[in-house]
Amino acid sequence: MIALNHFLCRTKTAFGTQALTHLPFDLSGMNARKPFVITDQAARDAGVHLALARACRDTHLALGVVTLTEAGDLETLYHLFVDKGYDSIIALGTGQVVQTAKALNLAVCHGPERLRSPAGPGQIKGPLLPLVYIPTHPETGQDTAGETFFSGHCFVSANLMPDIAVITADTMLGTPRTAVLDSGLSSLATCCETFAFSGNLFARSYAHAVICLVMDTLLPLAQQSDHGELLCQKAGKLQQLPLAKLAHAAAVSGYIQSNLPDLKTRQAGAHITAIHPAPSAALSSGLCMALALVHLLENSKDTCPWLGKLLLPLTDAAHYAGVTGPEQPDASVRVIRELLHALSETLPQGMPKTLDAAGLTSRQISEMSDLLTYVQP
Amino acid sequence: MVIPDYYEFSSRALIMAGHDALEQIPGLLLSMDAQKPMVITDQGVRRAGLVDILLQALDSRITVKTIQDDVPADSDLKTVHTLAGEYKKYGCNAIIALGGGSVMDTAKGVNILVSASSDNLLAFSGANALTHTLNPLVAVPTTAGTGSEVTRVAVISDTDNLRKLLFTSDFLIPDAAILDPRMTLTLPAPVTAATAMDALSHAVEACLCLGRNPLSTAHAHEAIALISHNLLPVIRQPDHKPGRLALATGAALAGMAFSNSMVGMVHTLGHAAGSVCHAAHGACMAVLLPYGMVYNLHKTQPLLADLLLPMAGADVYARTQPADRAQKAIDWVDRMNQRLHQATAGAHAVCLREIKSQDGKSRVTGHLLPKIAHTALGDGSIFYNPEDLDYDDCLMVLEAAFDGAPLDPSRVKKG
Ligand SMILES: [Fe+2]
Repeated sequence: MIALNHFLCRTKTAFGTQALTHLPFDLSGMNARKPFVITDQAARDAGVHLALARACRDTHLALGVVTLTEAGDLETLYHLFVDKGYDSIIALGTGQVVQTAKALNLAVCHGPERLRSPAGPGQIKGPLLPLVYIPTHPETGQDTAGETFFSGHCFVSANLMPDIAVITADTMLGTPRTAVLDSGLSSLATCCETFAFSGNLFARSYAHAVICLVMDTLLPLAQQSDHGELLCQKAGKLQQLPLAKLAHAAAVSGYIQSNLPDLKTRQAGAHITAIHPAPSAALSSGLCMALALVHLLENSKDTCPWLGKLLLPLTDAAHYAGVTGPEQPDASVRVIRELLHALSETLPQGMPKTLDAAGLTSRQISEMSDLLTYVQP
Repeated sequence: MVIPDYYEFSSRALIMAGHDALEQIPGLLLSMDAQKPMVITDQGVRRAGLVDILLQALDSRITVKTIQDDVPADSDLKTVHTLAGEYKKYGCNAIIALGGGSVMDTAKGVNILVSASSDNLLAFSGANALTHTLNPLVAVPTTAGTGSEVTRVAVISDTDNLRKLLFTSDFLIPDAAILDPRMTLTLPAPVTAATAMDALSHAVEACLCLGRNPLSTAHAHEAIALISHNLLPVIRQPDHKPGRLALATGAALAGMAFSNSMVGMVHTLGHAAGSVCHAAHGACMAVLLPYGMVYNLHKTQPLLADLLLPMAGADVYARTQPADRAQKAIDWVDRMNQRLHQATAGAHAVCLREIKSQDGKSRVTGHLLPKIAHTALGDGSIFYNPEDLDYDDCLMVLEAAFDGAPLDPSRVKKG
């Protein structure tokens, strides 16, 4: 066991059909009475904010809702928030909505000038206002991680993790299939790497749950679409629950990212996206991470402590126990390769299943060998 | 994977687990602006020299204002009020709780009072009565069992009114849980065994009971594997530091699991035996765990079968026919109790009759079983058990567990 393991997850996860109706109770537990809801046009058009308003009807809560495109820059949001006396923030959406909500929280609690220079771990002291995260799509873990990017600066603090992640099929919107794959593969890569290499048993337990969620959900969801590149614009009931499960997986993978910031697959994903000659939606960062994961596992079979055991969350207890110990590492990698192959089959144009096929030259691949090889500490 | 319609998972404690984890406390307290802690502990912990080890790990940046070591074996209301007064008197701004479940619960109670500037703890009892973040609380467990260092629960006895007060709130989760194997190295073998079986019962019940969810199950399975693989080696070699750390980690993971899924009849009956007979909680859990598994077998067969893997390992799991795996998991717990009984020269009880007080007298006597059964019906955990229990069911299980007799599954009313 490694000398010292840290794990911190500030966020309470509330998942399921009643998650929205529990929210007023949770907000009152945090003394929040006037939440400032930040959302985006797609969520507003789909009326998701109305579901939230219904859940808060006849409660002590007085919601204010702004849509990101109409609200303009952070300064406008800041003045609106302060002038109207809001006391908490609900990010109803993903990506930009959440990054903005986190930046607003920093600005309100530490002054707008705090956003002019970046802040690393430990530099943001004191609590922030209650922040609730209600995703409308599965994303890649950044929303729940303790970080935000704003005006070219990065701010890192566990206090930036949402207080509550409310994840429910009720708020899931139609999601492009590429985004579904991006989310699922990103969560899978993050958590397979964590499970296979990290001695942090707390992170590994969360990772185990995420891998199970992704393996249950991702392929069936990708196979359901009959709309070419897009899942239906307004996700039908069939898609909403698996989308919520993927969003759940992504949220938990964000908790892990906050605790294990040096994961190689994440760095590799960012690196490949940066150097690739023609990055495209088909070569998402999640796919890059998954391709890097396969390399990492293949290159580290002899040094990877728990590659064999990875077969357990990737399959199930019966399958895992039915494969002999020495064969388990290969079997684990094979399951991931087979998943990539099956996902590729769901796309009319297919998708690359190796870094070479993705267009990286052998030189580019060898230049990033430190990100694709595990070295025992 | 079956996912419930709705569930919550919250575990906000910063966990620091490692061979020198105590040395992290000064930096941690500084980061929370909490340089003036009160240490809450008990006399046994102090006699074992653990307070000294803690103090050595602190440095000049931290001023321990007072060390209070008068926490009784069962946390009680009067102690909480007394310690809250001391906290204010010494101008403390944080608590380091160093001990087992009673110390943790006492510290949580004190923290409620001092954070709310109140002198009425009763006002905060029940579910989610707290509405504000509490003062910094760092939990350093000296047993690997209760998981209180990461849970959202505190139980405090109101001895004047013969009742136990239950407090539940996310705000009760300590800010940090420090898992350092030095804190359990000197734990006697019977206590190590009983507390680890308590943690095992948390993990097993987290997997079987009605509040289970994918996150609690993942934490619980990891906990079961850690406890199963390390308990006997640690009993045989008490100073085995990696094993001690693994047990502490297992107990914390089990705590995170059951704090979010709740527990069932093993705790229902164990709590009742504890309050009626003052029988040690861990000892009750060890005895009652296999009975709870048998009682719920017909409703939890596949879940129980899954537990065989972390308990006994992949080889045993693969060699066992799928239909036999659940029973084999129950047998495994029985056998673990028998082995612990042998390894502790009979000190680890395998039936309720064998649970003894420090002076060697039996804690649980046959004529008290009806009272225990009656008391059990008032325990909240009964609602999370997969199969219903009435008075007769509780008594039937207690009578079997009293003598260590097998529970006849055909006598379980299948609802
Ligand atoms: Fe317990």
